[in-house]
Amino acid sequence: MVGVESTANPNTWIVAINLIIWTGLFLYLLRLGSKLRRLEKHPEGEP
Amino acid sequence: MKTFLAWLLWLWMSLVIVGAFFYAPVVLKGFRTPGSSRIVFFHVPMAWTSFIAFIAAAVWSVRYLIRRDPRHDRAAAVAIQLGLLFGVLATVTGALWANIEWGKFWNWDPRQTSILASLLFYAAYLALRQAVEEPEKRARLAAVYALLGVVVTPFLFWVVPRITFSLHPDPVVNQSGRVDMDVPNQQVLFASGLGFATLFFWIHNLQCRLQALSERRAALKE
Repeated sequence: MVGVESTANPNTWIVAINLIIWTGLFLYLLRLGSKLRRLEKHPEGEP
Repeated sequence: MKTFLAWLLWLWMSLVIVGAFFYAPVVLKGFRTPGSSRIVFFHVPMAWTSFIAFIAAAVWSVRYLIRRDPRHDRAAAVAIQLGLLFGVLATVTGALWANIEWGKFWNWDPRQTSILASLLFYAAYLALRQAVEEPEKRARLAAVYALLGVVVTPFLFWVVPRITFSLHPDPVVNQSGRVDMDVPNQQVLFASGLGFATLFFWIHNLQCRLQALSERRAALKE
């Protein structure tokens, strides 16, 4: 029986994990930016 | 930052990540374990960004001393906080790489020692800010201290590692002060540097606005 060898490049996983981390950080910053814009327009507790 | 520019940064850094692993060739002169050379695309730009942050802090400090605008003091303090963050990340990634390449996390290499010294210098800036209660005096003293960084930082970042023997690979730390790499490696390295610097200015902007809002709300409560 011929053994099955993985032909996937191990770097693919590293790149995928890096992209997930970077996208997560990016979306967090994007959300923080829009939240700040909202608060700057209508700060809570201000008359 | 405009949403369009933010997405452009996302695309840019994503391409840097992909480029670092699939576009730039692995073997770099001066590396014992060529596979580990890819760290150069992340570790070096983080150290550069730390340097940019410290110089930017000095610029904001000068502006504070001229105009006495608290926004400039806040901008300088945030720049130093972020400079420390990028500096610590550069140091930690460097130590992880050093363990693979040199067999030890910490080797007292001139580059490692000089970045540690600059981090301690700026940690003292934060301690100074904590020690002075009166806001104007704190801002004035902090601005003068950050200005000293204009002399200290370039010396520690660029001069010390180049006038003494360094274990660091030749392509980045060398006597000529130039990046000695193949063109694809240079492209990914400089693209990464630009991406990290933009990321710094984006986070800096968010953090300054966040602090301004907090101060405004605290003033309203009083």
